[in-house]
Amino acid sequence: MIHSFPIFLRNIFPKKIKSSFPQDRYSFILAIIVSISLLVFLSLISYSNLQEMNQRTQEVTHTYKVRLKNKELLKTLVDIETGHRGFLLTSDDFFLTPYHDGRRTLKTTLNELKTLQQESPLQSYRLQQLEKNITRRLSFIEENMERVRQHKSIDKTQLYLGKIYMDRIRGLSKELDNEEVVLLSNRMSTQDKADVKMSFYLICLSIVSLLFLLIFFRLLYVEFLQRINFQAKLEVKIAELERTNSELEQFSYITSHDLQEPLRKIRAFSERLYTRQQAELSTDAKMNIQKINQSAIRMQELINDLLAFSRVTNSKDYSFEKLDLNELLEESKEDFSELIKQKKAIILQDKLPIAKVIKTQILQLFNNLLSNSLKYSRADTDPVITIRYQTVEGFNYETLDNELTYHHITFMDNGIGFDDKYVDKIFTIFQRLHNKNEYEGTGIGLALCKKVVSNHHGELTAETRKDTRGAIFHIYLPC
Amino acid sequence: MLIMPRKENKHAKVIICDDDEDDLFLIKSILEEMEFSHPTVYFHNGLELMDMLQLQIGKNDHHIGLILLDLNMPKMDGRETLHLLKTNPAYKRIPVVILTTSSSPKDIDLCYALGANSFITKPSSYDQLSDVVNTTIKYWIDLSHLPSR
Repeated sequence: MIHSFPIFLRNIFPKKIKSSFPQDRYSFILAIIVSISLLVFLSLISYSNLQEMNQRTQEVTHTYKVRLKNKELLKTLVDIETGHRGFLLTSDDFFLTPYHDGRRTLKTTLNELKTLQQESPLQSYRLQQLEKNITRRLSFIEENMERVRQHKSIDKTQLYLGKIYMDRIRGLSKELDNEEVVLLSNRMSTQDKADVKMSFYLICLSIVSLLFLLIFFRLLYVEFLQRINFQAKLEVKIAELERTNSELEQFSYITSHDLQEPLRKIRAFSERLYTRQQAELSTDAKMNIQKINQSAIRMQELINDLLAFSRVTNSKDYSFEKLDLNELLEESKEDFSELIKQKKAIILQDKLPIAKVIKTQILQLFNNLLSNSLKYSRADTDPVITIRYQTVEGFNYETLDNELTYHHITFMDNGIGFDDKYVDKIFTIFQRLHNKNEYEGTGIGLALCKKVVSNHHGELTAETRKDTRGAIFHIYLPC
Repeated sequence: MLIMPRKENKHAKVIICDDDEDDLFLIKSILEEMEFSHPTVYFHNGLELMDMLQLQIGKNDHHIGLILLDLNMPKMDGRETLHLLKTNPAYKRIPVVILTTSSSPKDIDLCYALGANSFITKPSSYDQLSDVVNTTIKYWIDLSHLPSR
């Protein structure tokens, strides 16, 4: 009976609204979970692609930097050579400006290149070779410049060697550059591929999102149409019910007035006949007249009870008031004080709550339950009626509202009880479980009780006692 | 309640207004049994009653001691008749007792609000009806005999 469905999910997808389509509820949750995970998956892929793309852009920039520095290095060397040639020809320090500038920048450019190529072992090795050759080339330049300063003739061998080293340097520089060009073209092509992949993912993402959007829209639209349809049907039903209700009201008026009239006459005239012609009537005639009268009386009782029932059915004429149920019970007990004394009945009761009720109807309910217990008592046992009270939570009961707390009032007796198989029948109007000669009554009492409790948006149930004979009635009224 | 002194008390008239022939028959027979001596007039609806009263205006020799009025009648029902009686200065002192099959709280409240002097639901039993008619008529006729202060 206790609902196993988690409370937070119950709140997001209330059971009541979708009660007619229980399987829809679970497929709906499943669809949401699937779509969210798909979206998350696609988003993650796109994110990692973006990261890779960023990485590659950085690598391309790096390659360009290396090539630029490489060119700078060669240019600096050419500047140094040019300066030193001018000096060799003229022995004038004026030509040494590019030489000095070149020597200054050479060191930094080389260091920068080394830092850029740190991570590539092959390029680092090439750089080492380049540096060695540069050092050698510079040493030849310095030696010749020294000879010019000391006014010695230029060593031609040194010039030749210098030219050889310079060619090696150019070769190495070219190798270095070529390597970078290969790398660059590789990276460019990977980048292009990645771009294509990225757009593919983005298109996928958009299509899937659109698809889910359409599916959800469709689901909502279908649901919306169903609701509208359902509402229209309900409105028709309500109109029908209202008409039936007013017909019933008319019916009860007719029963009260038009049916009572002829009955009243039957009683009045049969009594008049009896009173006036008492002397002349035979015993048989008198007996017949009495039977007529008794039947008329019984039919009047039935009509009156039926009327009471139809009045209770129409609770719109009554107003709810906050009342002490203890006082109502006392009032009801007062009505039966004679019978209670006569039957030596004992009534044990808990303190009852204060509740918002329709006074006349609750009085009727208590009256009927008490009268029931007193009426169906056992001849050999004094009646004991136990009235218990506690509050209960609605979600513990299948038929009660999950969100509400209820006053639970129990009427238990030790009377003749009833057979368990009649448990559903006893609240049916005009249903009698006993021969009417055994126990009096019209069979409306419990139907009326049921109606009263349902007017209060509660529940009335019955059960037989397991420990001994007797009946238990459970009243649940919302707090 | 203040009742005017009457000189011709023995002739105080009783009016019974009911559309049901059976009930009129029963009441007649009850009055016969109790040997009721006052003049009794029977009407089948409020219109007949009001027409008769209209003719009676100015005549002092036949004053009315009691009107027994049914509620549900054709042409003019008891509620309207009661309203006309109790709003007319010429008739408003006449005691009016509602004798009807209705027992609805709505009717009871309305009738007392309109100025009915009593409201009685017709009992089903002949004996009870006899008792009710007997006591009611005697009470109101006797009351109309009382001298004013």
